[in-house]
Amino acid sequence: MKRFGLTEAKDSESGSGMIELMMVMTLMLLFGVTIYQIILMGSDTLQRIETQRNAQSDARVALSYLNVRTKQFDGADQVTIKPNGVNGQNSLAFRYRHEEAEYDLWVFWADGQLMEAIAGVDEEPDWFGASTIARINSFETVLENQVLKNTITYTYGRKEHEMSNMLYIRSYGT
Amino acid sequence: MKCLICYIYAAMGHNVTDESGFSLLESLISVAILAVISGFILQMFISSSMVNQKAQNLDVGSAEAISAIEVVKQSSNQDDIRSNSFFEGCVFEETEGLKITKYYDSKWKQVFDANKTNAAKFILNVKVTQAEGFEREKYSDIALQGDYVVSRELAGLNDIFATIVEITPENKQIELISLNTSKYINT
Repeated sequence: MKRFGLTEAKDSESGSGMIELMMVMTLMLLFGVTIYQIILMGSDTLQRIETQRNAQSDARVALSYLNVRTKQFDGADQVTIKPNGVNGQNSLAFRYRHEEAEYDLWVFWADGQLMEAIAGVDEEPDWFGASTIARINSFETVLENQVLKNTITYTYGRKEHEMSNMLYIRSYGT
Repeated sequence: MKCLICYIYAAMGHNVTDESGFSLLESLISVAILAVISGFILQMFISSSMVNQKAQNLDVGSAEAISAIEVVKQSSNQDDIRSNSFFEGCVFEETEGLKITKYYDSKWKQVFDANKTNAAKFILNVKVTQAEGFEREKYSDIALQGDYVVSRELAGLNDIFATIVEITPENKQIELISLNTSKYINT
């Protein structure tokens, strides 16, 4: 079987050696470019999947946190909505008692993060003393007819998505 | 150094020398191997993306199901449920209790069209039925008074079921999430 390869191409007497060499070189180039493209695309896709997963996880954590905290503090006059001192947006404030003193646990959104901060009664929450719960695009809370509606937005893929949940405040008006 | 193909050729009884170069055949086989590997990698990415999408649907679905249950729990009669903005544009049926159906498209936006089932990708089914063993007669007298006639079915202890169903392109219905609880509704 006659084979045309790199070694033969040097001293091939027939003309087909060079053509095949060129074809092989072209294929090799194609091969290289394809691998490069696959690596680029793979890395991009992986990054996108990772970002989506993180955004999704943050949204899930945020809603779950709001759910648990609200149910935890669902007592008489404990759940209120008022503008926070950090950016003036409506925030959740849960009143609770600890060792003879009363505090407010604020849940608010600032700088792309859902945050919680503890402050004394009638005091404003301090951004520096707040802890981050999750990274989300926005947070909106409305209390209407005994139902608390929390809406968050987050970027999933390249679009902004909205997720909301409603919670029945059992202690409302008690 | 002999290449893998040369070994295979040699094993097949062909005379392969060390001078044999990098042939067209080898290049083609390399491209084919690369294509197969890329196929697997691509498949992995697609699966990962689909899993993410499914997780996203589960998250939104469970938030919707929880909201539905909370709205029913907050309501004291059928009028309350029907007038709640969460159930606006939903289909209400009164068979063995109350059945509410809400339709969503693939982006979880509510579908209000007349022909809902075609555009719908997800369905929220909420069913409020009287709990098993509940003494219905005991409460019917209270429930049948004045404006509370419509709330007859909801008086007393109720089971609340909320189910999210996904409609596949083949028109099959797959249950994504199912939640249930019970509540005593006082009329």
